[in-house]
Amino acid sequence: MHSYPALLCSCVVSILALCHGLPLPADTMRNLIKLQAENISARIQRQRDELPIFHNLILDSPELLPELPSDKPIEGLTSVVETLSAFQRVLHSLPKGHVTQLRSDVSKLQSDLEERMSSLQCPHRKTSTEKTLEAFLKNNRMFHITLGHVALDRLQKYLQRLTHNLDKLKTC
Amino acid sequence: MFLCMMLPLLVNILIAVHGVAALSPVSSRPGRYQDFQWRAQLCCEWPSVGPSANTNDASASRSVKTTNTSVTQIRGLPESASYQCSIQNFTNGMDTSTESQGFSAECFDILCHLEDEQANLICFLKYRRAPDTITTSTFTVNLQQVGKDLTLHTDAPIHTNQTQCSGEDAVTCSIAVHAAKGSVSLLISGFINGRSLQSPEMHISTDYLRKPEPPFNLHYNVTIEGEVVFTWSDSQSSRYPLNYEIRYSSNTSLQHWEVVNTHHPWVSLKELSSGIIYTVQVRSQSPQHLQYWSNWSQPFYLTLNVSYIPAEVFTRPDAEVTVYGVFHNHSWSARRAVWMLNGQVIPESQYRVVNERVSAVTIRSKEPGFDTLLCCHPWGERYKCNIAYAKVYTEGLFDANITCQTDQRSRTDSMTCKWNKSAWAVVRFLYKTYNGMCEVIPPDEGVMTAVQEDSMVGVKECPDGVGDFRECTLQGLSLFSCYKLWLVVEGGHGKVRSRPIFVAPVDYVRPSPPSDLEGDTFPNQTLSASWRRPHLPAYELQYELRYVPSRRMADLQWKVVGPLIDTSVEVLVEDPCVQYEVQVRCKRLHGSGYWSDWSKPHMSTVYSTEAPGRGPDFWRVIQEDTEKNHSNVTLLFKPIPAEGPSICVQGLVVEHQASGGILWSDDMTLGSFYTFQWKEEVHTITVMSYNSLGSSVKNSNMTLVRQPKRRCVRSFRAAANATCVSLSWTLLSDQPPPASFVIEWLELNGDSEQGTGRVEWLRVPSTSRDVHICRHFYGTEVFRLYPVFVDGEGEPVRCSAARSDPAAYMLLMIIAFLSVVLFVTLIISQNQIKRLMWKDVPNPNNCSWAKGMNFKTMEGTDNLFGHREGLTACPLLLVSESVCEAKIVVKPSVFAVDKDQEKESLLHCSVDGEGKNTNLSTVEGSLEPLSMDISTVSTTPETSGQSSVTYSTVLVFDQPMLLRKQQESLSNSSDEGNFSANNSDISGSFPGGLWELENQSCSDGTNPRNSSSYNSVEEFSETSEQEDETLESRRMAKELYYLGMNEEEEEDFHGDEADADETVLCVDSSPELERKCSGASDSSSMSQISIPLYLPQFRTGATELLREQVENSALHL
Repeated sequence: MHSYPALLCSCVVSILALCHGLPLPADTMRNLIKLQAENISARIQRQRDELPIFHNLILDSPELLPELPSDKPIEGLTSVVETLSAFQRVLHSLPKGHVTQLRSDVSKLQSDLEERMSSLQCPHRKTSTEKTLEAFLKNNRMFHITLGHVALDRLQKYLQRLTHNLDKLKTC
Repeated sequence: MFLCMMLPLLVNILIAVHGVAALSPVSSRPGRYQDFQWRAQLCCEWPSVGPSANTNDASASRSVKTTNTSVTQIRGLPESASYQCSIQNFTNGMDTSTESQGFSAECFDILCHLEDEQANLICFLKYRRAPDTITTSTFTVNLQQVGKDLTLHTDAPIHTNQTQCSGEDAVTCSIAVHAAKGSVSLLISGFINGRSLQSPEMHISTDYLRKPEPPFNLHYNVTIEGEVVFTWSDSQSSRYPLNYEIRYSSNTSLQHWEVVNTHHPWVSLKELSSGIIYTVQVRSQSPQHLQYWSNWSQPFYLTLNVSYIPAEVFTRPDAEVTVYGVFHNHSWSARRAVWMLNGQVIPESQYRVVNERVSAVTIRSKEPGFDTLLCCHPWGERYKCNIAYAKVYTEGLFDANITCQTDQRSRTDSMTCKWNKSAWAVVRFLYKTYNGMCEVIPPDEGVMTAVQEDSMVGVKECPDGVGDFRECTLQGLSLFSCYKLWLVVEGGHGKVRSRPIFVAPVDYVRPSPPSDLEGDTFPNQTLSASWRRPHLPAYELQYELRYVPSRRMADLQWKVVGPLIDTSVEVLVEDPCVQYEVQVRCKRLHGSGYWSDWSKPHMSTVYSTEAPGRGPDFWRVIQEDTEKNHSNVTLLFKPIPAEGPSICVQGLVVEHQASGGILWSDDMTLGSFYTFQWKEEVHTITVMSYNSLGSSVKNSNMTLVRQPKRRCVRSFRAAANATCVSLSWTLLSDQPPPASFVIEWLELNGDSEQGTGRVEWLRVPSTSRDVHICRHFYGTEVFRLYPVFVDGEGEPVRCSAARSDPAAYMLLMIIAFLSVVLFVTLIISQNQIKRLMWKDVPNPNNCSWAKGMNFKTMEGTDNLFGHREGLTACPLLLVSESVCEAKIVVKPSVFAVDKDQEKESLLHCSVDGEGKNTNLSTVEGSLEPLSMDISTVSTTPETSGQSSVTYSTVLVFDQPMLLRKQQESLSNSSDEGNFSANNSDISGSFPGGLWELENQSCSDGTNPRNSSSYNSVEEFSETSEQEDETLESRRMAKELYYLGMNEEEEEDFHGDEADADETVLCVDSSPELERKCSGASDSSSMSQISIPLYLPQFRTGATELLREQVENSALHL
C-alpha cells in the first residue's frame, strides 16, 4: 500500500527527466538555427560595410580555400557541421578583433547543430581536407585582411543558403 | 744494457702519449659504425709478469695502443689486481692479435643504436664466455652523454646525464640523448673470478647512429626575374653535405610526382602553373649511408599567383621603396598591372615593367605607419587580385589619435580608449602606469624613439591582445595615476609605433547622469526641476537641463538651460498648462571631463490654483452596426477655451447614463477621440474637464435617442462662392425652437471622389438662422443641420453646396490653350509657306515680261504688287482642273551683269501637254531629263487623278540691281532647295532635270553649283532665311501675283529670244497674262507643253507693268 506513492513519484521523476532530455521541437530548432545564421550574416555584412576598400577588388578565386568553395551546397546536418568547423578554423587563424564575436557566434551555431546531430544519431565525419586547410592557413595567415574578406564572404553566402534550405537539417 | 733500458722507456713514452690521446674524445673513436649501429669488441687479459710491468711502477695509469685498439688501466687499482682491456673492432671471432701476445683474454661484444625515435641510445654488452670454463662475473655498463656547453663558449666537453646498468653475462643499458650533437661515453667495469676489470672510455658519436631526418621549414622564394626557388632547412647540422630529393605533384590524388635531385638545400622549380595547388616534399640522404633516405618531409602546399619581392619592407619617411610584383599567371601581363596602395590605385607613372611577368612600383611613404601593396590585373571595371600583398613598414611614430573615456558606473573603474589605424594593420595596445600626475612626467618619456626597447619594463598590454581592434577597455584602473598609451604595429619589430599620449583617467571621466529628477509646472508659468547628483566622481559638477512640451510637435525643439551649479532650477515657460519632458546631465565643474548622458526623461506635473469651470463642447458621429445591433458613437471635442493661466485642464471625464439608470464614467486625455457602444434606447453623455483640484461644473451633455425625431426645420439652403458657403434655414412655426443647431459636413481634404474625410461640425445658437463657413471646399459638399433639443436631437436636414466643377475650368483652359497653339501654328505655317514661295521667285530682270521696265524709276514695290496684305492661301489650293504653264524665256545675256539686258525676260504660258516634249526639245538642247520629269510627274496620283493645277507667283522688286546681285548668289541654292523640297521624286530621280535646265538658263551657266546638289535641305533653309533677311533688310516691298489660266485659255508663251527658258505653271488665267502669253505665243511657235509641271510657282515682275495685269487676275483666285 505504501509502495504506490513511491512508484508514482518515481514515474513522475522519470518522465520529468525524460522531458528534460528531449531535444527541442523541430520548428523551434529551425527557427533558432535560422536566427543565428541571419545574425552572423548580418554581422558580416556590417563588417563589410565598414571596410569598403574591397568594393572594386576581386579577391576570390576558385583555388583559394578549395575546402570551402563559395558555392558549397547545403547537403545535410553532417555536411553543415563539417563546413562550419572548417570556417571556424579559418576564423581562428585570423587575428582577434572583428572576428572575435563571429567565432563565438559560429561556435554556438555549430554546437546547436551538433546537438541536433546527436539527437538524430548522425555519425560524425572526419574531414579529409583538414591538412590542406591547415597548410593553406599557415601559408596565408599573414594576409589576414584579404583572407578574412574572402572567408567571411563565403561564410555569409553559405549561411544565406542555409537559411533557405533549413529542410536539409532534418536529415544527416 | 743501455739499449735494453732505453727501449722499454721509449715504448712506455709512446704508450703514454697514445694513452693520453686515447682519453680525448676526438681520438677515442673506437668501434665501427655500420647500419646506424655502433659495434665494438672489448677484450681484457690478466697480464703475466713481464718487463713492461716493472718499468711503469710510478705510473698511475697506462695505456697500450695497438692497431686500432686502446688499452687502459684505471688509476688507483693495483696493477696486479686488474685486467688490462683493449677495444677492437667488432668481429665475429676472437682477434688473434691478442692471443699472439700470450694473454688469456676475456672478450665482450658491444652493440649500440638509437631507438624510440632516436631519443634513446641503447647499448647491449655480451660476455664471451670461453667454453668449458667456470667463471663468475658481474659487469657494470656506465653510459654518460658528453656534450658541449654553449654558454662557456669552449669546446670542452661536459658530462650531463649518466646511466649505470649491471648484469652478469649480458647487460642492456639505455640513456636518453637530448642533444642532436655530441657523443656518449661508454665505460665498462666489472669482475671476473674476483679480478676486476675496467675498460677504457669509449665515445660513441650519435651522429653516425642517426637516420637523416626529413628536411623542414619548406618554403619558396621568387626572384626578381620571376624564378621560383624552393628552399628548405636540414634538421641535421651535418658536417658533410647531404643529398636531397624533391618531389612535387599537382594532382590531389598524388599519383604522379615530378622528382628532382640536388646536392644543395634549394632547387629552382620551373614549369609551375599558377592557381594550382602543388604538394611538395623533400627527403635527404647521408653520404655515409647512401642506401638510406630520410622520410619525406611534411607536405608543403604551394600555390603560385602573385608574388612580391620583398614581401615585407622597412623604410623611413620620405624614402623611396620599390616592390616587385611577379605574375605567375601567364595570361596576366605586367604591362597591364595595376598597383594598389591600401586598396587605392597608385598612379601609373610609378609603375615600371621589368619583364612580361614582373612589374615594379616605387612609392614614397610620407608618414610612419603601415601600408600594403597589391599588384592586380584589370578585370572589367574592377581589378582582380590575389590575397597576398606586400607589407610596407615605415618606421617612426605615427598619430593614432587615441582618445579615452573613464567610466565609474560599475563597481570598478574602467577606461575605454579608442584610436584610428589603418584597416590593414594589426596592432598591440600598450600602456604603462606612472605614479603621480601626468604633468610631472619627465618629457623624455614622451620622446619615445623607435629603438627605445629598454622602456618596455613595466609595460602592459591590452587584455584583448593583438588584433585589429580599434578600442580597448582597461579594467582595475588607478584613477589618479598617469597612463602612457601607445600602439605598436604588429610585425614591425617595434619600429612602427604611435606617438604616446599621457592621460590621467580622472580627467576623462564621463559621469553617470543625475538621478531622481523631478519637475513641476506652476501657474506662474514656471517650470521647476530638481535632481540628485551622482556619487562619483567626487569633484564638483555642473549641470544642463533641457525641456520640451510633452505633446511634441514637429517644430518644437529642446530648450537647454545651463550650465547650472545647483541641483535645482526654475525656468519660465510659455504654457503653464502643458506637461514638459525634462532631462538633465552633468559634467566636471573645474577641469576636463565629458558630459554625462541625459537622464531618463521626466514628465513635469502641472499645478493649478482651481478646478476648471467648464467642460468641452462636443458632438457625435454615429456608425450603425446592424449585425451586432448596436451603434458605435465617437465623440468629437472642441478645444477647451482658456479660463486663465491658473486653471489647467489635465484631462476629460465622460459620464454615461443609460436608460436603465446605469451610470459610469471614463477618463481620457486631451486631444483624443472617444468611442463607445450605444445599445440602449436613451443614452445621455456628459463630458467634464478636470485637473488636480477637481472637475468642471458647467458641462455639455447630449442625449441620444432612437425614437423618431421631430421635425422643426422648414428649409435649409446653401449658397457657395469661391471661398465661402452661406447656409440659411427657416423653422416651422408650430414647433418649439431647439436649444442649438449643429451643422455637420465632411472635410474631404481634396479627395471628393472617395468620399472619405474628417467630420467637421459647428454649433450654432438657436437664435441664428444663417451661418457663413469660409474654408476650402471641393466640388459639391453636403451639409447637415441638426436641431438639438434638451431631450434629444431633431430630424436633420441636408443640402448640397454645389460649386462649379474645377474640371470644367480646366477643360476650358485647355481648349483655350489649344486654340492659341493652333492659331500660332497656322501663322507660322503660313509664314513658312510664304518663305518657300519667295524662293521660287525668279529675278524679274531675267524675264521677258520685264523687258523694258525701268525698275529704278519705280516707287517701291507697293506700286507693283496689289496685294499689300501678303499671300493668300487660296492659290495654294488645287481648285480646278485648269492648268497653265507659264514659261519665261530669258536671253543668255540676261545672266550677264548687264542691267539692261536683265529686263528682257519673256513669260510663256502653255497648256499643250502633247507638245511639251517637242516644245522643250526645241527650246533646250537636252530634253531627256525633262522627259523623265514629265513622265514622273504625270504618273503620280496627284497629277493623274487630280487636277494638275499649278500656279506661279510674280514678285516685283523695287531695286532690281540689288536683287539681281542677290539672285546671283542665291538663285542656285534657292532653286535647288525648292526643287528638292517640293519634288523629291524629281530631285532624287534625275539630277540635271528641269531645274537644272532652268538654272542653266536663268543663271550663270558657268556656276559650278548648278549641278552640285538638288536636295540639300540645309542649304535650302539657310539660303531661304538669308534671302528673307536680305530682302527685309533692304525693305523691298514685294507683291505676289498668281497666274491662273483656264483650260480653254491655255497658251504658250515664248520669248523673243529662246536661249533660256523659265517655265511657270499657273492656277488660273489672268487676262493680262493671257494676253501677254498670247503675244509671246505669236512671236514664237516653239512650245506646245502637253503636261503641266510643278515649276516655279511665283515670280517677280516689274511693278508698273504688271500691276494692272494682275489686279484683276488675283481676284479670280
